Amino acid sequence: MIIDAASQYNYIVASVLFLIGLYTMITRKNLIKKIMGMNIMETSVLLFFISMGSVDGGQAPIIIPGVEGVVYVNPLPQAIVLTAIVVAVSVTGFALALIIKLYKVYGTLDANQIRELREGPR
Amino acid sequence: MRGWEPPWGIEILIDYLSAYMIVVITGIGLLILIYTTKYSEKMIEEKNIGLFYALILLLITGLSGMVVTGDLFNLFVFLEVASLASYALVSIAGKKGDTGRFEASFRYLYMGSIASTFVLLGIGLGYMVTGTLNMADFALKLEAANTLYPRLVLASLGFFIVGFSLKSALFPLHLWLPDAYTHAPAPVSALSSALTIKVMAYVIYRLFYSIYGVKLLSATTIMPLLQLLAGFAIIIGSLYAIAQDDVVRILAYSSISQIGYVILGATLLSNSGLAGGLLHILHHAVMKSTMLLAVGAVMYKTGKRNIRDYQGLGRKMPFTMAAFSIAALSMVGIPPLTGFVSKWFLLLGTVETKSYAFTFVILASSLLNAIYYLRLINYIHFKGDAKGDVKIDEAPLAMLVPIVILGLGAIVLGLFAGIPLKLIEKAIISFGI
Repeated sequence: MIIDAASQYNYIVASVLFLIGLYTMITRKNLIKKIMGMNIMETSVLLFFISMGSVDGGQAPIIIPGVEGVVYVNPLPQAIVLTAIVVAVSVTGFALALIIKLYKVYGTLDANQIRELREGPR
Repeated sequence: MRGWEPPWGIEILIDYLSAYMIVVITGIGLLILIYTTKYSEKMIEEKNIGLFYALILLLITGLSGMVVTGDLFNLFVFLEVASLASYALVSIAGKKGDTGRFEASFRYLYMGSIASTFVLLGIGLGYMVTGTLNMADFALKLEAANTLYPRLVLASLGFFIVGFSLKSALFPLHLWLPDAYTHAPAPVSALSSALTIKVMAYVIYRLFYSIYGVKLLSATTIMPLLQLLAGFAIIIGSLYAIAQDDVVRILAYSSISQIGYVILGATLLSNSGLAGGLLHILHHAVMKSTMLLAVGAVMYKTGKRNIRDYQGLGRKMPFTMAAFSIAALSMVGIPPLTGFVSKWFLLLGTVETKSYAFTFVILASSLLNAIYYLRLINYIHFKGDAKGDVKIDEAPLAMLVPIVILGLGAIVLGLFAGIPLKLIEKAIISFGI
């Protein structure tokens, strides 16, 4: 496995997406944008897994009896990605439910304003 | 599982270390569940009680799964099961319209999800260089991988450590913890402090000694770095705890300080240090769950938890407060209580490895612990009678029994520390230091 920057561009894209997601999560004050950052970050890891399992000219790993000499891609990362998608969806769903609750209580989605509203009456 | 042999299929593996952890998880989990039967009647909205139990059981399942699994990706799945259950548990409780819990839960969620993504990336990088997810197989192939791709191996280790440090609230990444505990109901903060963050610390032990191995670790600067962070956690957690007036927050910051001990034990690279760190997982679980459950019992009776409201409670709730005080003294490290034994082994570890700065840190932290725990005990027992004519009596039996059992546990496990230690020693032999 030789890391060649031009042919392995998907890894570079994955790392750039990862950093964009992390940056968004840390710097944005809007809760929805934080969750978007979280999703970008998770998706970048999924891209990373998929590129890791791919083989040049590989086919979907379904064995047909009698056909030999076919190159298959690695199915394990794909199984992992499916599971990770399920996990990411449930986390996102729960986060959005919390955001709805927060919006009903505070009437805003800005993390700073929520903190002010919460600590004000103390 | 599913008819596949271990290196390909998912393996469930129980060795001495996981056996020890699973006893801690299920034992303390059972006591907390007994406590919850009465607590939930008054403190949890009625329509949520069923969900509350379901989430607690899900949390315990996730934690047990993390401990027994022999597969890295399976570890991630159980990690997410446990984490999602704890996020939800923080937000579920409260009858009196406490809205801060949603924000606390959200902050826990978004910091936790960063950690999960880091762990997943760590697994990915590890899989890339070794081509396997089975922990034993991974450890075998790591040596060859390390000569070929040393940077990738280190990167995967780094992502794992950051992820699990965040989940176990190690010092600079502890920001989610105090708010989550303040707004969570007592059984949840007890479960989280006693079990969740401990299991995350256990994974760090597992990664260090069963997977990456001592040889690889001592060739890097990871150990000194984590030692430093653990030292900061121990001191700064205690300093923050002194400054608090809310009893739950005192205990929350104290948990941050105590997780420092567990991580310090993992990083000292000496047998005594490891024994101390692993023993502290059990001992701190017993002590801190006693205290958090006792605080929950006071909340149940009076609805208050400021340190001033504890004045004279020693006479009103004698058994609860006796258990609380024993656990508090044990936390300070007074022999023969539990806290003393694990701190003693950690001290031995620091002396053996000649890291005297950490000997000082542990001793100084015991003094700092004494400041805030003796302050609490002073309010409870020696400040005169309770203010006002509020009629307060002992907690109901279903809540009292777990508290008293755990409080007695703080004495018994201190006197008979040899019993868990036998198991731990067998586990440490397999670490190969």
